[in-house]
Amino acid sequence: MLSKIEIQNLSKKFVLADNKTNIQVLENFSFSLKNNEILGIIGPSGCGKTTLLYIIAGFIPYETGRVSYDGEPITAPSAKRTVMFQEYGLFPWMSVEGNIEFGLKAKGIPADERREITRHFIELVHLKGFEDKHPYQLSGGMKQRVGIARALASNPEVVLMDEPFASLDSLTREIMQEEILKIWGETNKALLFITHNIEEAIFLSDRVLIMSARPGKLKEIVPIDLEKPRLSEIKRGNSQFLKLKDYISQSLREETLKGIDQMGIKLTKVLGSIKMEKEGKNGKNN
Amino acid sequence: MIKKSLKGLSVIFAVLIIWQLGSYFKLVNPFIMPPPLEIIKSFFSMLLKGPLLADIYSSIRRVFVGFTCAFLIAVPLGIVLGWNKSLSQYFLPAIEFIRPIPPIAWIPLAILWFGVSDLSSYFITTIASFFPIFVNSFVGAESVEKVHINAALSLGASRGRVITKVLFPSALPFVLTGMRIGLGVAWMSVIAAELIAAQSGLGYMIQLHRMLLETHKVIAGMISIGIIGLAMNLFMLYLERKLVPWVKK
Repeated sequence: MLSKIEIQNLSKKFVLADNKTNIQVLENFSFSLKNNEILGIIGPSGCGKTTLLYIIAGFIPYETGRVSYDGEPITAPSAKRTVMFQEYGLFPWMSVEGNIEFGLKAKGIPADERREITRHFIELVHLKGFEDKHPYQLSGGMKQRVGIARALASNPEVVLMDEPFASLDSLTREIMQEEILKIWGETNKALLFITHNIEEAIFLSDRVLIMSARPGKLKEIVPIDLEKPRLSEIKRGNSQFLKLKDYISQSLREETLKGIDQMGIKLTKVLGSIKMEKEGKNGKNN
Repeated sequence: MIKKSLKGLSVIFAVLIIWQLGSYFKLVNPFIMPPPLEIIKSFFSMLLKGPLLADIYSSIRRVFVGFTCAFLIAVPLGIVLGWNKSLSQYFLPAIEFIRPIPPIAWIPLAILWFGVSDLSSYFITTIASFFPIFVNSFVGAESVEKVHINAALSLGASRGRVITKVLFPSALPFVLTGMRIGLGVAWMSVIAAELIAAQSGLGYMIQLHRMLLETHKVIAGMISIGIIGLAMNLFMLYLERKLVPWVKK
């Protein structure tokens, strides 16, 4: 079997604190992540991307459908699927080295071997000389790289990334994307990542999954048949890249508009009820 | 920094000079308010040849023993209850019921239980420092960030590792604040306990000199209490800066 992660008819509801309102976040979602594949997930804000990622990671439960890893249903987090969080989620009380070797220690890898692996990953993400620094002493781009190294060091089969580059400036972002492709070329893992950025999705992915506005459904999966290795230049000059960008933009635009419409309906409802309330009050006063 | 401390010192010196002059011109009764120079003189003479050091040692030892007991119970209990919501529902009401009772209100009970002995003081200092340390450890464990727990779990950490490597360091800044407050309260309480239930220590010493009508020695004892309290607080602040440098103040 070639699929690493298999998702069939997944639906997820959130119950709000008042215990009455249900929010349907994901609906009848199916897709699979293949071995060694890089899959980018893109969709309008609030469509349940992070929820989907957290379900795959094993952080939150789901009610209906089937989410499996190597054929086994996912019920808890596992070191086979490490996660890189939106704000990195680094441990502020640990040095760069401490953060990177956390997963190795959890696995019980002996000290010598651990030190060697840690050193390898520190070099891989160009953080030599910063081993003893703490996250609060690092720039955003450096924290990002610590996050990548930490997620990779314990040798997972899949890395899940939640908007990995959202808080970086565009130049650093571009460099980090190239590094990700380089690292993935060397390490033979699968990557599932969430992004808001169309260019980023195309540049990194083997396939791009477009989600619909809430409730999050699979809209379509676009195969990206650009040659590898890819360099950032293709974002500007390559006609195939631009065609893909146009296509995905259009597809996403429809969904974003739907999302805004939904918000608009809610907004008019809210505004309407405020207005009625006001009028009611005025009525009483009169 | 130097300018700031100069400002503060200038007021202290002005008050001392006015006070000294007032005594010199017999404007204040030296029995009620002995002149500062006499207080300083008796402070140093007690420090050098008198029993002051022995009293300081007794008081600090009582605080240290009680504080250590409180620390050993309060930190694990606070962290476990902050972490485990359903367990905390059993224990919190009882703790919240006892917490508002001031440590010095336990002194009569301590005397009944342990008599006029060191045990009474140990008991009072334990009670005094327990609650600040417990409450802060609890809040510290409660405020652990979900993303750190998730990160640790997805890196393969066991439950025990999550508690020792994530929960505890997350709570540590709070624990240290609780320790600083707890130490301060213990110091205040040990003096109160010694006023009543001890045969040594700074509290006993100032009470003794009150009975001997040696006001200057009473005030010299009070100054020792203040200086040691200040030093403890500064030491704890130093410890916080050293141990949790990632917390921005």
